[in-house]
Amino acid sequence: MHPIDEIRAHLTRREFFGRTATGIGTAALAQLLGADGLRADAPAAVGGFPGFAPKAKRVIYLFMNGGPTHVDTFDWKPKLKEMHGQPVPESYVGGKRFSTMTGAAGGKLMLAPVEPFRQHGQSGAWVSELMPHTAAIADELCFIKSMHTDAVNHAPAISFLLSGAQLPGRPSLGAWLSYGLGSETENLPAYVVMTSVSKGTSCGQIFYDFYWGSGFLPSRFQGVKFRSSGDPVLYLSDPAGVDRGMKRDMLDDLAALNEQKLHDFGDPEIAARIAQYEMAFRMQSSVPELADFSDEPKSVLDSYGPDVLEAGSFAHNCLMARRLVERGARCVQLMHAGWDQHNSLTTELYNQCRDTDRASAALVMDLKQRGLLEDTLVVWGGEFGRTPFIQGNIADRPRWGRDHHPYAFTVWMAGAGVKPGLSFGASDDLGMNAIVDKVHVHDFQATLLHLMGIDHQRLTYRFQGRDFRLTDVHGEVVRGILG
Amino acid sequence: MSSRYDAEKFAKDGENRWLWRMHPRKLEAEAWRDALLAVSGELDGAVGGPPEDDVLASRRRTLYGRISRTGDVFATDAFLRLFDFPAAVSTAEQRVTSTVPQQYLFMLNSPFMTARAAALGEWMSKRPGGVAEKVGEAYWRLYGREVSAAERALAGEWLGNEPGAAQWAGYAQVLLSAHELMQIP
Repeated sequence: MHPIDEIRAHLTRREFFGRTATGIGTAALAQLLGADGLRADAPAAVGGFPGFAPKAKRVIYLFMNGGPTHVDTFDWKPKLKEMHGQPVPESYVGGKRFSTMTGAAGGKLMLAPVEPFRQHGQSGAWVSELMPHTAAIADELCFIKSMHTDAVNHAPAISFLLSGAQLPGRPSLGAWLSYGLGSETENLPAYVVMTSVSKGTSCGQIFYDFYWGSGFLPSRFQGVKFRSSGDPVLYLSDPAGVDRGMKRDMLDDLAALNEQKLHDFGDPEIAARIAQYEMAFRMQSSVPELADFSDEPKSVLDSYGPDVLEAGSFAHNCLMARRLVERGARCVQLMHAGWDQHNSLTTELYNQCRDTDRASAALVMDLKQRGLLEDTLVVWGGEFGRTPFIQGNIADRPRWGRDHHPYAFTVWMAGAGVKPGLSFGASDDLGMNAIVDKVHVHDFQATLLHLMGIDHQRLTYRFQGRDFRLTDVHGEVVRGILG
Repeated sequence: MSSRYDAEKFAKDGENRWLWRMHPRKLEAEAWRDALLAVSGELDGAVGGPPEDDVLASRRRTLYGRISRTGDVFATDAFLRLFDFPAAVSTAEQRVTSTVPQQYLFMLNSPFMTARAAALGEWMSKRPGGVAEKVGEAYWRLYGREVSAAERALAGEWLGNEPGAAQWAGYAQVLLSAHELMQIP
């Protein structure tokens, strides 16, 4: 928040409370304030959102870290197969920048998809046999096959997709959503992040905190990252010998002390702190309940696959995501690393698909069966695609790879507000460049916000003298995918 | 310069553009953990020696915690990262400041905090004088100032006349978790 706004908000609270000498506990505060006030989950200061009827109230983003290979999964290019082993035509790559691993693309050999594709469902969507479960729900999905981005390396490209800027420091999508729309739960964070890594991967990707940061927005809007092993959150249980009543008393005293300091120092950080203490207290009961799958029917657990009970697996995180949105979370961001097949197309890619395919499809169908898909948006996709030409030696099949590719990639969406059973846009006949109904990252972001009932040009935040937004000064809503 | 609030100046220049006070700041994680050990009387000030994989199981200065390049290998990493220590994998021009519930779960429930609270509580209980004097001394030790009347009343409510070890420890944990210990005045 801008310092001036912080101070304004603070002054309002100050006037409201008066300068009480004794300090008041948070329980009393909550009573005084009713639904609004210092709570971490209180609606954001920003008003007027959603600005029109939203199709989606919440979003689950299945973020595929590393750049899934579009030409081996969802973007079927028969010509790529025909041209297998031939040099890439100059007209497709001339003057284009690739990663330093590829350097100049001229002369690179084309590489056929590693597995065959088939058409599925009423919509006839082409899906690789690497993704049988996703293929089976193709009629629920809206594929965007004409995505393109500005960045060629992982961290800048992920940051660009999630925050609208290649450099760290801008608020992430989830932070903008929490800021614009507030929270629907007082017991859990509005924006939760969970990470997983593909089994047996050689990929050493790191999940940087700025992928879910709040940037210049107040820190309460940043994503809360759940741990991938053990308890989702550390230190959830009360220490031995301390009961809930005593903890409650401690918390009230602490709030009283901090409240005093809030008056003495006029530091809005202290207000955030009091609110976060309260959230921590409530999470002690809400998080164990959230993570306890014992009330899930066997059929549901089975649908997510055998990994679902293994904390830290993608399948486990998918079921957690459904439970989180059921309980009012606004944005759940799952990040799954390993999609970086520089030399593992014929090996690790198979594990990667196995780890994610089944649970992603199960999540969509589970949401649908519960009626949640009507107002929940599910997004599957990475930060870029992979080169239709080879990285590596074409004679060495076990080491085949593809390099980073920003000029065309595929994402799919399902649920609230998007047309099911649609393949939107297209790349050229080699999957090299998006050419039909191109969707730039900023267009994609504008569309996500639109589905949530937000005009991307109106959700702004003044920082360092100018109004910032997720889409910077770009972005067109992709009307063609709207249901 | 102090960051203390002044109603008149705040009304004129709430944004502090004319620098009538120091901007309120927070201690970074390392200094805050050192402070917790120092005020509970447990800090091991030894210089040098091997690094600690789990700084929370140690009483040495946080400086001696062992971190990994990726920020996810050692218990020390987990603690420092919880309080905004940047991952050492790339340069960080400044630390982000986060305020998230997990930090407060650490303060309320971690064995590290309850151990510090027990030590500080025991120290308080053994100081000469009545409850009021002991509390007054703790305020000087933790915050370097006189306890206010309101704070003394709050302490009295919590501790009563004959506090046991659990009351002292609970009260000490409140003092250790308070924003004031993390704040640079």
